[in-house]
Amino acid sequence: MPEPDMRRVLLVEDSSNDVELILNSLSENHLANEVVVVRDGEEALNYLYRRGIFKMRMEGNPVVVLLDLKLPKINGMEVMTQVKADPAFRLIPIVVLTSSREEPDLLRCYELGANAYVVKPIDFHEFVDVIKQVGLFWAVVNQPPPGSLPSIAR
Amino acid sequence: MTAENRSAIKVALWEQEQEFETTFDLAGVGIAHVSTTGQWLRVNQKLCEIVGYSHQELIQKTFQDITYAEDLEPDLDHMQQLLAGEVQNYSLEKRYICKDDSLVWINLTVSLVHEPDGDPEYFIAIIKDISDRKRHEAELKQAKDDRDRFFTLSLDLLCVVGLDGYFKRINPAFERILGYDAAELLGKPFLEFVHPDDRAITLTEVETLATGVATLHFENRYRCQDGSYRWLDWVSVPVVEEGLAYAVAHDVTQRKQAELEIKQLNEGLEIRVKQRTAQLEAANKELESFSYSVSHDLRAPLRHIAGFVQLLKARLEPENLDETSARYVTTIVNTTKQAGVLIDDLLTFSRMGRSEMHTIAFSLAELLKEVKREIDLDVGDRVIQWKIHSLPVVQGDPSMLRLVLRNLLENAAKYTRLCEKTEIEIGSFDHPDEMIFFVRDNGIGFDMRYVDKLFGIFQRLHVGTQFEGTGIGLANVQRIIHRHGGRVWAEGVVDRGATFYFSLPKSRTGSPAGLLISDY
Repeated sequence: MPEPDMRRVLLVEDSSNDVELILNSLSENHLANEVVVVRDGEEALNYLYRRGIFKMRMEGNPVVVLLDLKLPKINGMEVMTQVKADPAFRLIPIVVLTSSREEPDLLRCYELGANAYVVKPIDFHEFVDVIKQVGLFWAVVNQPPPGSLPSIAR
Repeated sequence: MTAENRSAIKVALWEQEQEFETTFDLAGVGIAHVSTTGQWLRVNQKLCEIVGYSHQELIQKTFQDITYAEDLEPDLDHMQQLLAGEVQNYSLEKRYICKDDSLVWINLTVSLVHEPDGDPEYFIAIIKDISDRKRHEAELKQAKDDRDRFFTLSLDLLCVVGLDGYFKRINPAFERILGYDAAELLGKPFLEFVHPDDRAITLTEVETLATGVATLHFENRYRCQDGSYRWLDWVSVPVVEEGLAYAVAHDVTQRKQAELEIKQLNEGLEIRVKQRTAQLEAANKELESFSYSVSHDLRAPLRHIAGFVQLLKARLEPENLDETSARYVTTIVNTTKQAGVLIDDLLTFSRMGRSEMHTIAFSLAELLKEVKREIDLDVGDRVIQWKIHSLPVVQGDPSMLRLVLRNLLENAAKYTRLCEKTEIEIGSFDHPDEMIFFVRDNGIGFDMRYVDKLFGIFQRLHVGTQFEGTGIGLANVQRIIHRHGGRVWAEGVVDRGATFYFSLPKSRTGSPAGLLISDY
């Protein structure tokens, strides 16, 4: 099992139910142990900047950020704005993972530079399918930008 | 005296007499000899013409006989004076009654002939027909009376005003409307009665008048006796050579007040409209955040229910899950899915009512092509026999009308699922005021008794288990078409199919030449 701070996927999600469902789905592709979970926008930024409790983590960016929009403290859009404004983190792929199907949200996220916008399906099988696909693509298939945490050969 | 001399004298006298006779008879005025009691003694031709009697008839009468009753007394009085020697002669105007009972105005001049001993012998009367003059005088008087009446009775203010700044002559309306005495109004320069704010423009107007240009609709305010002001609307015509202008003013105070009230009402209305709009916008904003909330917050719990119940099922299977429990789990999952679809439909429905319409001219045929492709994809292996007629270019919101077509086609495909051979027909009719479109299928149709419920929200005519659906689709269609200014309706026969119609108003539809795009 890789060192905790070598985990390459950052999941920003406040609902523990959703966290459990997502991790459950990702586990089908053996990706669950690649995921760092933070519960709000502030924690997400702390992780990226290696501040607070994440001061000692290994250098390197997550290969993808799975970002919920509705978060306490600092919400998803604000996180995205800050991340995309910082040259150190600008290139990190961000997948918005949200309940909202509203067009204004969709538009705004793409304007802010999101790489993908995924609506969490209500149907469980669909949900599992979607999460698996997202995880597979971004954590395995996609080539992450320079500066990302290296993958551990398994 | 010789006999010849006597003859010559007789002839001369006779010739002289003839001359006087001729003069008497043929004069252009009536001449008569009248006895002191009034008897016509001798009358000439002209007099007979004037009164319409013959010589014979007139001689039988007295002048009193043919004098108009009203005029008799003055005549007799004068006659007495003449007889008494108080006057040498007299003249007056009087009326005779003609033979045909009509009246004739004449001018009478009378003198008296005395006998050698000094006693009155007979009157000489000169009679001139003055009917023409009298008639002319009457006409003039009538005209003058009319003009006086106009001036006096007019409810508008009529006046003659001097270009020197004073009223010269004013009609009673001035006193009545402004409340001053005529003397007051005539005594001061009229500018003193004008509202201070209007004095400058009044002076300018008078200057213009003085150059000979008439005034049309000049308004200013005059102060009344009681201190209030009235608005007057002036029309004036100058007579520059005489330094005068003839003016008419209309009291428009009421109109001015009404105009002011209307202006105030309008301003009040504007304010209220602004307030209402602000209220509406606030309500809309609330609705938007409500919808957003629903979209976000309701979905998550549903997802969790579905997810965890499935996880539970996976853990319990196969040992601990009996048939009934499995069925319960499936029910929970399906119902949750349904709730999700319902939320989505509701959100779409509310969005359709709120969102702005972007109206353009576009090809309905092209749009239909795209929607048909999606339907064909959805039904998969099922074969649908499409019959699509030419559709015109229409004026409307493409994304909204896409929803309409999608809903109608989805329904058609859904309710023909049990058919052996599915037929779906789409076409249009051209009407003078509107374009009518229809989607016809040969599916299970519906009972026309319940046609009114078709477009109601959440109304369904078929049991949910047979044909899935939330019952919002048609309500959406109706809402969209209504926003385009059109109508929706439907016809159906149980087990024989249904036809759904919608119309789009003509002023929006049709390219310039109303040409149909024939693609199929």
